[in-house]
Amino acid sequence: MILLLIFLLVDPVEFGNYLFERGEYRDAIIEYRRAIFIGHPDTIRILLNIGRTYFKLEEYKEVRETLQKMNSDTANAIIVLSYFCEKLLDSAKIFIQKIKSKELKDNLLSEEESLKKLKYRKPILAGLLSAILPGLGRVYADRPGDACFGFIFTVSTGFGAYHYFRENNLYFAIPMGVATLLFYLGDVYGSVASTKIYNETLYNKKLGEILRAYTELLEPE
Amino acid sequence: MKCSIFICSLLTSSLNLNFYVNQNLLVSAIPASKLTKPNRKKNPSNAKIGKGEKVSHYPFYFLFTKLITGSIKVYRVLISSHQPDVCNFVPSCSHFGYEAISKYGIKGILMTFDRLERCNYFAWFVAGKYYSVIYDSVRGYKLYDPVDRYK
Repeated sequence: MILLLIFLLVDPVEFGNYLFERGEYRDAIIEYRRAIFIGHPDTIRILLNIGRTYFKLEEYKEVRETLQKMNSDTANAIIVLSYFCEKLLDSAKIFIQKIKSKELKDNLLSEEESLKKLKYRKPILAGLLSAILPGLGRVYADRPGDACFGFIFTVSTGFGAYHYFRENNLYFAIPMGVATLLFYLGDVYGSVASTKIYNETLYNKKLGEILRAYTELLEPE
Repeated sequence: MKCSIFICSLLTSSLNLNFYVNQNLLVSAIPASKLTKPNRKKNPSNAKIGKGEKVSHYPFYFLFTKLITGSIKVYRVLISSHQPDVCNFVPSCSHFGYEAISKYGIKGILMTFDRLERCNYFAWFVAGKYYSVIYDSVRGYKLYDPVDRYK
């Protein structure tokens, strides 16, 4: 009976915040939902906290489903950040326009602009460069060390294949030729993949800076 | 406050436990005849082929990939096990190749050759930027480079 009383007396929102701080996000959501279920008066605060918890869990669709109907500046800002995390910048812009606070709106607009203006590299160009000269695409993808090795592997096996073909030694020439082709194609593929990873790293770095700037917005109240 | 929170957490966990127990009881109460049976029919030949499934639908393709993954296995058992650990990455290049070819087929071969080109000393210069460093109790410090990143 006493335990039940304690259970009822503890504020579920406070307990949810405690679980949030401990990193037990799923349990925190259960507590917040329990608070709504028992008719806690501070519904807006609870819904914001649920949104924040889903944000921590990287479930951005849930974040939007929870906060979309609230139409408050904080909720919209969190939705914008969730769109940033999913690289949906155009959708983010729609929600930035809904923010009433001028300062927050301008800040988020400038962040959105900065994410758009990042100097991304083109994967197709990297593939083409590697097709022209093995390793060149990797230099473009900011991996000069790999570029050297790509070049050495392709050229050395190619030279070996050429050498054995001239000597009419097909037992060595054919495997060498196949290896050359595979190293060449692998280099082209790797250049494209490395460029995509470069772009992803660039975006994530900037996104990390933005999220650090808005830490207060993502902490539970 | 802390004590009450602890008691509260105990209560919630016990409630959750009860919930699971009741769920299990409910499942066991349903007669076996009413439970849905798994579909054991073979996929039709014109079924939509997913990325992971295509290997099993074309016999020659299947044999080809099996041959390559089998040769990687032979390499791992006969050669790699007698060599010192020289690969910079986790999973190692041979493991990466095995996984990539099993998952992606022909594309996996290109991924493997790309990985062989990337497995060099210079990879450590971009550690932290493109690769995270992890500690393996057996193999020591290695660069983490999973297959799915390059798909």
